[in-house]
Amino acid sequence: MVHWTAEEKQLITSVWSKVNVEECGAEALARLLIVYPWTQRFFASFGNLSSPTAITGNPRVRAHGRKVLTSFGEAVKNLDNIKSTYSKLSELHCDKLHVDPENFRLLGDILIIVLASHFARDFTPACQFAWQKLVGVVAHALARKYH
Amino acid sequence: TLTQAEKAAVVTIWAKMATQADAIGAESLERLFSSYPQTKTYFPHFDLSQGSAQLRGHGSKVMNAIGEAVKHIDDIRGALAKLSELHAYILRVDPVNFKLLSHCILCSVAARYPSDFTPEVHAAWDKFLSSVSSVLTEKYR
Repeated sequence: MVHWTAEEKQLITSVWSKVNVEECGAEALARLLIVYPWTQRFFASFGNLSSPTAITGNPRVRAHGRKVLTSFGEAVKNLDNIKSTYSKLSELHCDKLHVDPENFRLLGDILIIVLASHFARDFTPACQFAWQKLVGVVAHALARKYH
Repeated sequence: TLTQAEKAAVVTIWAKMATQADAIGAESLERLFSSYPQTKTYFPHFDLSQGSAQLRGHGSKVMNAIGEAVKHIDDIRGALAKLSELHAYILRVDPVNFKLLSHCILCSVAARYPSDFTPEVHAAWDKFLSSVSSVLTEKYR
């Protein structure tokens, strides 16, 4: 089980309470697809991904980004139980989606950059530390059921 | 390799960053040492407390080198040749750490210039820092 200090929990929940999940999720996924174009391999069915503008405006990207970040919110709500929270999703990503877990780390770091750009000076190094820990734990939980 | 558009994006943002380069450098290192404590193992001889003179000095050094790479963006390898040798033979910083520092630099830039840090600029800088990292580690073996 992951140990969270009171300060880490506070930094995580206070940032999360101000996050617009729909906007942030859409932006994070779009940036993933733009900055690391090879990640588009999982989204061939999403239609037009031909340029950063196309990706940012793509409604399926936006919807999926929102879905992913909403799921991330489950981790924030269950900080002491992240492994079991993502048990089924881990199996899904392995058995059905065939996603290399490295992609979870890439998306986690992109999310951190999106938070930095939204919260600016409020996204202090201490804040980043707590969030890096969180995205790492989520990535690990999602990779845990791979076989 | 960077496209012309990517090079332009890098150069444009650098013009803004240059005025705060020292502060950005110090902040990036602070983020690095705080999020990835293992990176401190390369600086046992430093006072790494927030605002320390050594932290600021080293942040400046790092940003100056990045500035050189921007200035010679068509020949990063040439511009950083000496630094590449330094890292290969003397410093021998494990290659994984370049990604960590690059990420922290991007965080600092995103925090300071949110409206300029569009996805295209983000992609260009990520690619640029990746090039710089490659050059700095290419003589390792």
